[in-house]
Amino acid sequence: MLNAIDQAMEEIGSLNHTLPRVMQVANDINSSAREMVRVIQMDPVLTARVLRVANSAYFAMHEPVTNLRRATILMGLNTIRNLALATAVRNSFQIESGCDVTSEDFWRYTVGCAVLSDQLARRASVDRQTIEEAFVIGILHPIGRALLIQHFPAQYNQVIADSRAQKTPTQPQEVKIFKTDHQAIGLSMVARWKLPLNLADGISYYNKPSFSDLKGTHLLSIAIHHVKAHRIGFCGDWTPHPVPDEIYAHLRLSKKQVEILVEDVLENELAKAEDFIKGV
Amino acid sequence: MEIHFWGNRGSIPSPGPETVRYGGNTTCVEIRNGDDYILIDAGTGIRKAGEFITRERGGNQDIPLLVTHTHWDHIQGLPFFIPAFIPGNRLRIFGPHNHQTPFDRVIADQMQFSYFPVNFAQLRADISPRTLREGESFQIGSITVIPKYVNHPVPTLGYRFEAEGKSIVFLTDIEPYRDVLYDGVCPDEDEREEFEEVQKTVAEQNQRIVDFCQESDILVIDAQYTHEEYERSYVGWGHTSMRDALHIGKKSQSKVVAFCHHDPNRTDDELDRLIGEHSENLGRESGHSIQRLLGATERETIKA
Repeated sequence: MLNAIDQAMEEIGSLNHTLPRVMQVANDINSSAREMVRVIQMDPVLTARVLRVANSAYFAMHEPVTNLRRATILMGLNTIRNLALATAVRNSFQIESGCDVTSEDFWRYTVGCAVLSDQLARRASVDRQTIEEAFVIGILHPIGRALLIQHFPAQYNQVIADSRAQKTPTQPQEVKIFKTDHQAIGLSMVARWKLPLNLADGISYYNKPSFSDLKGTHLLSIAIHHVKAHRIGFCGDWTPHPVPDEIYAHLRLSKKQVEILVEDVLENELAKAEDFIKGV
Repeated sequence: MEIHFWGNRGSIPSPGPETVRYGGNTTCVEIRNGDDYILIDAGTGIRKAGEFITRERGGNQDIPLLVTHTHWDHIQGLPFFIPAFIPGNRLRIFGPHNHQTPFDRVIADQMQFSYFPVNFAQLRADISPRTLREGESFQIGSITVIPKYVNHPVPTLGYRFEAEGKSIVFLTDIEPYRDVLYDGVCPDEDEREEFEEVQKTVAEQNQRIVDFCQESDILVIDAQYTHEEYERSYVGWGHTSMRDALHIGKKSQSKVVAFCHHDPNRTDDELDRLIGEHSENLGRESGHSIQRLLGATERETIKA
């Protein structure tokens, strides 16, 4: 099983939900760089693949490339467009996965976490780098789960069923079936693809934020908690992890402030993202 | 150290009476230092380079070939490179990393059955491709080679050569980095930070190009378009205007600047006129180090 997961890391494709729009924008020679970046940042696998190339040892960047804007300047629109198409084409060889987590639900969950992390960062007491990385870490954090859902749908359905029956998060059930879990797979991908280092912290500690010193991880933790609590999309796991009060205090955010943001801003931003993905 | 030009035409071979002086073969140049030599690019100019090597240098050659990138006009001469067919020769092909198809496969695939009668695997020389990383300099005989990735619509390398205190920089198929996201205009105050980050990244990358060319004795640089042509029709095509090429030459304090990758539609007379105008302007300006400006010319050699 671990070998199969290892192999799947190279073959993972973009989400079926974003695929038509990715193909449309990437195939249109007149699409702008901003449209291209916008469509890529709506998909965790595409985002990861672009950052992987930008951070490849071949380019010898002085500092890690942690956002798509910088990657686009460095690599050029044509290369970015080509990467998006190549990743999207992988999906055309896959049948519907048959997993209980639909591509659309997974996309709503992922973009929900990214948008909320970004919105929280803009209001919290954090530095500029944390604000810049908040969206990308939000979109990339479930990359391990995306792999399991895409490549092992039947087994992942069993994980979901077992975690529901036993009222546990999915992580212990993943270990029983896969001998690893979505967090460990995500961490492997961060290391192998040279993704932003702060993402590794987010993946490791989003469900136990007190273990981390990074404000970016604290923002992600709060965002995931609220996205799950409000049942925005579905990643396979309904159980919101606890977020201690000191995490909110550390960021100078109140729970009420977050609730208002979810109700007033998040749905609106998700609707705009949905319209963009559907080409409305 | 010197550079010899076997081909300087951009995009597609352009033979004919109007291009006979500067030449119609696509890119291939040779760096020489004593008995050491390096070929760069395998455009159609490499055919004559191969004949020369076979005739003048004989067999059992160890030939380094640095490929800047794998667009057709930089590899299409390789199937006609005679030394690759001769047993006993060694051909070391260096080139850029390609995220989609490995470099060695791109090189080999142009000799598939459908395109060419001889398969790449049937070549009799000992051929070894190698992918290069930016910043990892290496030695070919007495010549130090420094590769650098540049802005072009496919992964592309520029090369700097150093030997005995002299330097030659070869930058074909390069476009200055530019703000492809905002086109220099901040669309909204909410995006001010993102906009400024993009401007900073663009400026940093362009400065790195200047640093790479710093105080070169010879800078051979893409100048396919006039600046008017570039701005009107060719932004994003991966090439440099003559004005921008000279700007890089001035900022880097290079001594000799040679325009290369001549546009396939550019006649000899037009090139003479344009280079003449730019040379006159340079002559009137002070505070730069450029002693000579020329158009790279097939079968000519410049000494560093």
